[in-house]
Amino acid sequence: MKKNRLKKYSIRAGIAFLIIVAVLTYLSSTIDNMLLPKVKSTDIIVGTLSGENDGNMKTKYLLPLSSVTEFDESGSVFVLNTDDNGKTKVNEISVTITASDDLYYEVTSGSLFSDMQVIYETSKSISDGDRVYVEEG
Amino acid sequence: MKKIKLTFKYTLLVFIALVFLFPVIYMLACSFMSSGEVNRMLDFTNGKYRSLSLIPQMFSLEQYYQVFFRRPEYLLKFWNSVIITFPTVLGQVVVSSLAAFAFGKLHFPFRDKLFFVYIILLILPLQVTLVPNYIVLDNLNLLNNFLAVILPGTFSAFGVCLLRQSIKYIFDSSIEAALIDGASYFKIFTKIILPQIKGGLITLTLLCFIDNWNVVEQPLIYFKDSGMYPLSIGLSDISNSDYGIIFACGVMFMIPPMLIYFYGQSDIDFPFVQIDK
Repeated sequence: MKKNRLKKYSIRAGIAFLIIVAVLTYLSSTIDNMLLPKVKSTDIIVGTLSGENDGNMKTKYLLPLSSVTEFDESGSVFVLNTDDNGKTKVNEISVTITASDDLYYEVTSGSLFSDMQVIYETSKSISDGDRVYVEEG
Repeated sequence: MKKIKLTFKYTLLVFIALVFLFPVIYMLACSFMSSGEVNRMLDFTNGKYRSLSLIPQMFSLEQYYQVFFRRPEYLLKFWNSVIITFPTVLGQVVVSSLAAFAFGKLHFPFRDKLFFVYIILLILPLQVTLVPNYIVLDNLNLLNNFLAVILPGTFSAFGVCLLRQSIKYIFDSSIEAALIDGASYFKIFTKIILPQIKGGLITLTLLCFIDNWNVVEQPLIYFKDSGMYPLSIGLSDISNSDYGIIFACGVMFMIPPMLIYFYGQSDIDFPFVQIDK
């Protein structure tokens, strides 16, 4: 009698365990994305604020004001990066600010490239290497 | 004197039980520690762990939270284990019981010689058959497919040998009586043989389950896609620095075999024919 009860409970516990893990597996990516910092990104514009080439060999980029954290003449931006597992992460890149207007910073950087996506809005504070969820702009 | 002897005996037994249970208790304890605490404790920078504690400084469900909500890859690995194990166990129990019935009770040419070949297969270590299996699976175009682990497991010789021993103890007279009454071999198998080898079937299920649940070598060799690896490989990856998560995964990984053991515990006491009871 006691053995039969143990069998019954084992079967029930097994089924319940598998159902719970199945539900968590189904929801985990969703939950995971919900808990990640939500960010918005934009393409990097190559060019200068004046629209003219000043003869400098360094490529200049125009970045939205909200994307750059400014420290005097330098600053840092976060760019999107996809790791080996297909997870989206952010990398912090240092930039040198050469000019600015009401909308953009004009910057130069050896680590910034025109095919990168720069983050201009985030729901939580982020740091280098953090995983993020990219929202449609 | 008798009392002292008994106390000594029980103390010794409890000590031995604790030694064997220590890894499980340690895993459970570490799974309830924060990742910082586990990493501090298992800091192998000097080639040795720093300390060994069984009581968390602060009880934390952080590791479980990471496994169940933040790191879905471990849950997917868990399901890979399920995909590999459940069909293999089911297949092996069906194939082995049918083959064992044939080897144990049916008469056909070269029966004993064929069974001898099975025994030889059983003696061969897994590592010896890995490369031939790899070549066969490559020719069948089954590499990087779950069937690469399921099929060899299904046709393993171990189950046949185990169940043949159980079936051998069933009286021939009961089979002959059924044949006289007009029962087919399939009916004899399902109505006479199977109910009497229930203990053997559950023992085989449990052993086969544990064997396939803990499988490491075959997926590593047959699967190129690391996304198909079962959780057993994730747990055995000691280069992984997420020790805390590994402990929480270990607890999750331990639950299914434990439940199967609880289910079959009473029947395992009688792995051979039920009439022995």
